[in-house]
Amino acid sequence: MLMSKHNKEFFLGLALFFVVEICWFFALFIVPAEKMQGEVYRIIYLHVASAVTTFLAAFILMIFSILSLRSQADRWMHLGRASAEVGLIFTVLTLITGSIWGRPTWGVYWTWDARLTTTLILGILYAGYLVLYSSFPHGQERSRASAILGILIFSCVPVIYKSVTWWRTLHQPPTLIREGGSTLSPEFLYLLIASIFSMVLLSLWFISVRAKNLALKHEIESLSV
Amino acid sequence: MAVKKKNTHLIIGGIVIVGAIIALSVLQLGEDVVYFYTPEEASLKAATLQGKTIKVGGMVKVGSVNWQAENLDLNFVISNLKGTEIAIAHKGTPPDLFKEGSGVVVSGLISDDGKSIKSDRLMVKHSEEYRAPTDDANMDHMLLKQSLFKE
Repeated sequence: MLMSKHNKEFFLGLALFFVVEICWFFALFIVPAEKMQGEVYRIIYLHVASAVTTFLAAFILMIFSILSLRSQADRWMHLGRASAEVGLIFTVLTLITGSIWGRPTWGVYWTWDARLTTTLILGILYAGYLVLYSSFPHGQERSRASAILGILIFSCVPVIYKSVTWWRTLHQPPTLIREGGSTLSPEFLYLLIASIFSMVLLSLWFISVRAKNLALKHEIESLSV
Repeated sequence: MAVKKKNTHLIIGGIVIVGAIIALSVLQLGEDVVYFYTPEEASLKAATLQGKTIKVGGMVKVGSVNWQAENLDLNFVISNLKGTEIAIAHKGTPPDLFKEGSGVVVSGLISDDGKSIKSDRLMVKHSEEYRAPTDDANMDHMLLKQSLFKE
C-alpha cells in the first residue's frame, strides 16, 4: 500500500517525537545524577534544547521574513508566522523549565538578571509579532509589517547568548560552546547534543506542518467570502 | 479611507519596532546593567547605598557559616577573594547548593560602614560545569570565580 503524503508527514512527526522521547528516557533513567546538583540537573536536556530551538526559530523567522520582503509570496508569510508561534512556545518552555531548575539550585524561581530578562523580552517580541500579524487583513501590508518585525526579533538572540558574558548574572555562563571546550562529562555532552538535535528537528516539523495548516486556512477563508 | 488605514497600521508597526529597539538598547548600555555589586564596590559605596535594597555577589568564606536551624538564623561572610569581606545576617533556610566556598548573591540592606548586610534573600550561583559522579575531572573552582567577578 502506498502511503499518502499526509500519512508520510504524520509518521515523520511521530518518529521525531519518538526520538525526543528516547532522549528523555536516557536523561531521566540512564545517565547518572550530577556531582553537585544531583537529580535536578536532568532538566538541562529539556531546558537547553528548548533554548536552542527558540534561537533557531528566531533565525529562520528572519530568513522567511527576508524572503517575504523579496517575493511577497504567501508561503513565506505563513512560514514566518509558524516560526514565530513555535518560537513563542519554546521561549515559554525555556522560561518555565528554567524556573523549575532555578528554585532548587539558586533558591528563586525568577530574578531580573540580564539572561532571564532578555529571554523574557524575546518571548514578548514573538507575542508582539503574532499580535501585529493578526491586526492586519491578509495582504501586502501584513506581510511587510510582520516581516520587518520578524527580522528585528533575531537581534535579541546574540544579546541573550552573550548576556552571561557581558554582564554579571545569576545565570551561569555558556557550557557547550566556550573557550577551552565544554564543561560537561562526555556522557552528558553526547546526550545533550542528541536532545538538542532531536528537539530542533521536531520544531522544524512543527513549523512546516503549521505553515501548511495556515495556507489551508487562508484558502478556505478566501473561498467562503 | 484606505490611505488613513494604511497610516494607522504603519504607526502601530513603527511603535512596536521602536519599542523593541529601546528595550534592546537599554539593555545594551552595559555598565549600567548591574545585577549585583561585588563586595568591594558595595563596601566603598556603602554610604550612598543606605536605605536601598541592594544585591551583592561573592564567595562564601570557608569556615564562616553559622547555621541555627532552631530559629532559622544563618550567618556567614562573603568575600571577593582579594581581602574585602562582608558579614551576612540572613533569616531563612539556605538553598540546597549553599555551602562554604560556593558563590552567592544576597539581597538586603548594607550597614553604614559597609561591613555587614542584613539579607532578606539568598541566591546561590552555580558554575557551568556538569560532571558525572564517576568523572575524575575535579570541579574547577576558578570557573565560579570568573563567572561571579568577570575577571
